[in-house]
Amino acid sequence: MKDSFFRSMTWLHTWVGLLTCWVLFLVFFAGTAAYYRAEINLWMQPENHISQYDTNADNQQLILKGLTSLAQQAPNAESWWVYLPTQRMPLLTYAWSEPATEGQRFGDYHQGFINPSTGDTLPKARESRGGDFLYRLHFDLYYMSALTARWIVGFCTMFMLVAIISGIVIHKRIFKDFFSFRPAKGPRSWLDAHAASSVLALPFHLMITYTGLVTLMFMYMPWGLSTQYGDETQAFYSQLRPIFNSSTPSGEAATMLSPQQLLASLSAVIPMNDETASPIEMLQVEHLNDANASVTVRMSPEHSLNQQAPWYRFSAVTGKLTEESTATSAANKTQSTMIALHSGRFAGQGLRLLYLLAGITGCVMIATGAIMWAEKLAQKQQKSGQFKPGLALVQMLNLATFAGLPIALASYFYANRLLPVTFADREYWEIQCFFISWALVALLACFKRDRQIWQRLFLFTALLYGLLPLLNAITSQYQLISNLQRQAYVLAGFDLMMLALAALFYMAAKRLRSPKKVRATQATKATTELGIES
Amino acid sequence: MTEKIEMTRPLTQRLTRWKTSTIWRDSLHVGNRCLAAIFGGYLLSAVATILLAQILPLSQVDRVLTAMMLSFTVYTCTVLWVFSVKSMWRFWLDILALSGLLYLAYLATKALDINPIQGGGL
Amino acid sequence: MTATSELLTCFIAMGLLALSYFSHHRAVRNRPLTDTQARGFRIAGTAMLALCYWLASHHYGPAYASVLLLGWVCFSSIILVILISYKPRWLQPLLPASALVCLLGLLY
Repeated sequence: MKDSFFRSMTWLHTWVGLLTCWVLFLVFFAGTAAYYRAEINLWMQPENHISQYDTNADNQQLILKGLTSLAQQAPNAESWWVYLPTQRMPLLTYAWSEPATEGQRFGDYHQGFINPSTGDTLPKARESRGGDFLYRLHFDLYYMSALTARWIVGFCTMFMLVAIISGIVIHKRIFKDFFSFRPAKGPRSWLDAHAASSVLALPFHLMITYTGLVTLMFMYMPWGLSTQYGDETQAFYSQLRPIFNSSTPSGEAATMLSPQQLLASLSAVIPMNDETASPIEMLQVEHLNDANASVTVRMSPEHSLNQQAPWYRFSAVTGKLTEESTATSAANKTQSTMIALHSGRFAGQGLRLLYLLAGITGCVMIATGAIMWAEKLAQKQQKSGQFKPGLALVQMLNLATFAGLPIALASYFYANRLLPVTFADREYWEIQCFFISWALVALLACFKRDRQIWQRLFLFTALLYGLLPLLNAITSQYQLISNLQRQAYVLAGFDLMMLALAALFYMAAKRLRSPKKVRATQATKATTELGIES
Repeated sequence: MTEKIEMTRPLTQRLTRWKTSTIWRDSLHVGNRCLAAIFGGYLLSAVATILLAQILPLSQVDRVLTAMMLSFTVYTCTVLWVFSVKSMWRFWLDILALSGLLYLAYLATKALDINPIQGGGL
Repeated sequence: MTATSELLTCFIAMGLLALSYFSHHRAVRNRPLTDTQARGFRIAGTAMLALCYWLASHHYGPAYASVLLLGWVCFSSIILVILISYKPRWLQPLLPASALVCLLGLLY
């Protein structure tokens, strides 16, 4: 295409990167936040902050409490769920879904929480989508059907995969320049920051992109499945994931075992309080009061990367083990490992933090690439003297996205605490606050795009994040110090992370003060600066 | 006509220089390659998936899984290849010919039932 | 404590690998690099990486350890890039200091 393979690949890398970088930043931003979705869920329901994780908790008693509450509150539900407490979500959650009524696809879903140390049911927490909103945002986007959103995200992901591979191809000195970074050298520094954040976390970027595509491959590339199985794709899925082969209700009524009896039959097979075995994650009871009523027990996937977590299925009427997880084929294991790597469900605390850092590095990669492009355009505009509308567009999008999204996230957290608990459609309005504040920054970006507005926005962001622990102290029962004292590290960690983000944005804002020198970003954190030589 | 085609200038500048005839040709070149990369690439990777899902020496579930997981690699390689070929129309010919050939190979292997492990489907 | 030791081992390994580059060696130790020295650093760095992986897989199992190792390599590289770009002289005392902390962590 161009004179040489190298120049063609450079052209390709630039354009596939540019056309999708803002969407990809949203995906990376939301996805990185989603690694801590359980923690965000907890923080956003302060009524639940009272409960604490106890490593010596008696799992049997907890399951009993959950099942008993469900038997009392929802004896005629369609399905029951009991989620055991974990370190990230130190509550016993029980939930049920009602049978779907006319016109509904699924029945209504209800949840209740129990404090595991006291056994009391917690009062109903405020409605909030919490971290789940951020998780859904990164592939279902918003304001559009899930199908459209997944096609858009898949398209952009494919672009990103091409950008990564072409980036590797053009970076001939990838090992020679491995540790190189030349600060304070203008566009050269932006290039170095972009190269550093790409190369140093390259395994992560490549993995997350490819596994993202594989996770939704049944939608993007269904042809292998449809040509092999035709109309009987259900046969394929039941072979792939036997745990989801829920039997159909037989129609004949039967009495289920009481919670105590169920527990007894479960503990005969599953090691309940064994330290070495993986703990139980959740129980699901289906087809209540039917002859085919079943209890499925899933073990925790933590630390099990190359094998799917074991599961067991019992009849809820007789208590006998009917099915359990078996060894899976290599291809099956590969596919589930790929999904596990992407979602990070298996990760312990340390690895999860590394995932977060790698995600932030990905955000830096995208931001530095886009800003480098804006700088190049600005230089060209200066040289040629011609006005470039393309430059204005890129600058506006850069400011709206890289400065706007952090502000939007902070507004989401503020809305969670400032909107009254009994506010109608509270969930919906929390999410609207996210998008409204993002839109406001975008609107601002249409008018002002210079260095000063970047600095002011970063200072504002630093202020927003810095005041969040204070907001938490005012609007909930516990704050940073008391959380540290009672060893509620999840909540304390959230506050500390907000303070860290505030410090980051403050440092970025300070960097923007000197107009003479063009400084480049620190390669670890998501600080973005736009420096136009005045 | 040995002038270098400058692709790195932003689109707006290229469009305002409409007086020069190479601008329309530039956009045509780029657009053509994009179409070939996006749609031709998808076609080729879909057909490769279909063929692999038929001929890999694994059980049916595993064949389908492996073929689908590999499809994205095929797609990426095709895109890179489309943008590195010199001639303008050559890649269209290659993609369509290769896709056709692979599909014929798939039909042949299905008819001959070369992989008798749980056949079925289209 | 073992997780910190493993991370520090990785950091030391990447630091040694960084020192096998001429420009970085000159920035850190203020003297040029000979070929044998470069090879020595590369071998030492690779050996430390292998040690790090062995320690991690002993603790977590080989699959989990491989993911963890990649994460640590990324993290240490980023720290090193910042260190070498802004305060290169600090690397020289930092490496033996980390080795000491690492040994103490492993022993206790």
